[in-house]
Amino acid sequence: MTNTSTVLEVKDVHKTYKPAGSVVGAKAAHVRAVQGVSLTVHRGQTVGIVGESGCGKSTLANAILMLEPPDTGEIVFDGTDMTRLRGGALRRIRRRIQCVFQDPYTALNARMTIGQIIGEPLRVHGLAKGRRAIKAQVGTALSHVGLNPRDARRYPHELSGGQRQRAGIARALVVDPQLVVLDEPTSALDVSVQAQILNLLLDLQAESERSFVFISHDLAVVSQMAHVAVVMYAGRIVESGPVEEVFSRPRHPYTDVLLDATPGAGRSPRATAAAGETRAALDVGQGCPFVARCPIAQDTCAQVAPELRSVDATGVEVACHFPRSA
Amino acid sequence: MARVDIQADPTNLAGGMPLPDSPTVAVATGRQRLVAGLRSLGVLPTIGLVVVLLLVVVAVFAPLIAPFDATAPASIDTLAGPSGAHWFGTDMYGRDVLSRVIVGAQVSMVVGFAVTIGSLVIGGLLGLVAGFVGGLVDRILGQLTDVLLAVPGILLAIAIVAMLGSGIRNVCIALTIGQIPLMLRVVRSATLSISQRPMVRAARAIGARPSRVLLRHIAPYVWGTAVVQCTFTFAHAILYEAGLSFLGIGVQPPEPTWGNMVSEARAFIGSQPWNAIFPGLAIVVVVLAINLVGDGLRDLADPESRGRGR
Repeated sequence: MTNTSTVLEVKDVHKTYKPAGSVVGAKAAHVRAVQGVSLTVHRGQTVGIVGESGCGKSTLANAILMLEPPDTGEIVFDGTDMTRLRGGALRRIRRRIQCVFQDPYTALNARMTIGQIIGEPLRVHGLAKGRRAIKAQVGTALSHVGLNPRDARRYPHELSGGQRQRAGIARALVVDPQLVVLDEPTSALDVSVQAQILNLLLDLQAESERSFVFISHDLAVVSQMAHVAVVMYAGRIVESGPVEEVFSRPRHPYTDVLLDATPGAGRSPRATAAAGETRAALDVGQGCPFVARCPIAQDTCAQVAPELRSVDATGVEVACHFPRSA
Repeated sequence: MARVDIQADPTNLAGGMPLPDSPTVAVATGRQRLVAGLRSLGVLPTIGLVVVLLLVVVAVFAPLIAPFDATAPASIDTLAGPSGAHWFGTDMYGRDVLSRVIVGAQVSMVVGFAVTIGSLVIGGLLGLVAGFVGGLVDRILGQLTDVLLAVPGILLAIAIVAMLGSGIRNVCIALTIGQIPLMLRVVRSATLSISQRPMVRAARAIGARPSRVLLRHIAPYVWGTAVVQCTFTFAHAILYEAGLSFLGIGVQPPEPTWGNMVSEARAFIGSQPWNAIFPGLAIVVVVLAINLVGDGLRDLADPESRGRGR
């Protein structure tokens, strides 16, 4: 899938968290948050990452942002493996990968004005010289996301949740990044405000060649926003492919379960949704991580973990021994 | 991709509309802000604050306020009780106890401020670094802190003064060393908890240098906690200074301090108690006042209170 339009390539990323207070060398239950995830993001593309809480999607976001660097694996952004960068080089590349966080209440410094918050990336990267230039760019960024340039004087607590999230988006976009990681950008907002923010994001993408990594537990949102859907379970990708394919004809039983559990995703919720929780987070042994909840599990599933593989010509890849045929 | 129309409620567009211009909030005058600040501080802390400020004024203008010379012996009238001329009586050398208490405030205030500023600067910076950098730096500082905290404060101070020699400067150094670990711990734990906030992740994600993240996004939030700790440091410093002077290894007579006054008065405590009572009372009042201020500030330090349009 590598070609000139590739913006981000995540290669076989692993991240394990040691439980707090574990003794070095002790074989405590390490949390394997992300296990061998690879994905590619092209220019102008939105990749939606879905999965239930604890499936490792936020860990993956933190890895892509290099806030919590992966244990192993590469994160190649525009030809540069970021896991090899340190200090200044990493900070410089961060201008081109920005992030919008889930909770706009806690992601903005309450003691800075909106203008200072949005101006900070410009200052940090020396993109605007002088008070006046920064003010002008902040004003442009604010109107770009549907806020009033005069809101620059306000403090975050003077804005509504939706307005704060707009400010968070303005902060991400003010430095004109190639890639924006959106970590559940709407799940802390009211439904009506959610729709506005999603429309804003769609507009912002339509007008540029910017790529988005959109992380959400909400399949309806991902199906609206993304070109490519990546379904994660227990720290692994279980299914990925064009969003229409994945959501209309799920090959993996877990995707099926997710769709069943989602009202408004084109199906009526069924009571047959697989019972059980992700036990994954802790050790899953050697078999398929989904085996305990899988309605179609066979003996092999408990012994051999399925690899992510292409099953047909639609571009869908699935990690299942018995994928449903399209 | 279709535009999203999930239950868009036409009556609730607040999230999308620019807010109308805020009504121009009249800039509060200095006096209004002072009154509002004191009101949120509470009654007892305000009383404490007034007492502390009075003491600072007394200390600064001590030579002008003191009715008599605090150090020169006047053998006419020794160990006299309180009277119109000598409100607090006189000591065994005939010196006016009121004047000595007033001048003694200077030592307490100097030691209090010096130790507080010293431990805030050193302990505060080390605490910020320990909490922010973590890892080996944090572990080494943590171990040093534990070692210092394992020794009782007054013993540590005695040991250091014994090494350095007596005098107000060395007392300040000794007490600062004793207070640094406490400040470091408090600041470190505040730094740790604030570092976990998404706001700090966001600052790192935009590519801010660690120094900027620390000073711009973490330190302002640690400041409130540190100020509260400062009040307790101040009270500790005054108490320990009095203790060292009482033991005769702090500020040396005839220079009056509350500690060495109580010490000198010990011999006559049965017959002439006022010699010990007044400097002792001064210690109690100032330490109590500072602690009241500290408690009030601690209640205010709730970081959310700023967001409520205080």
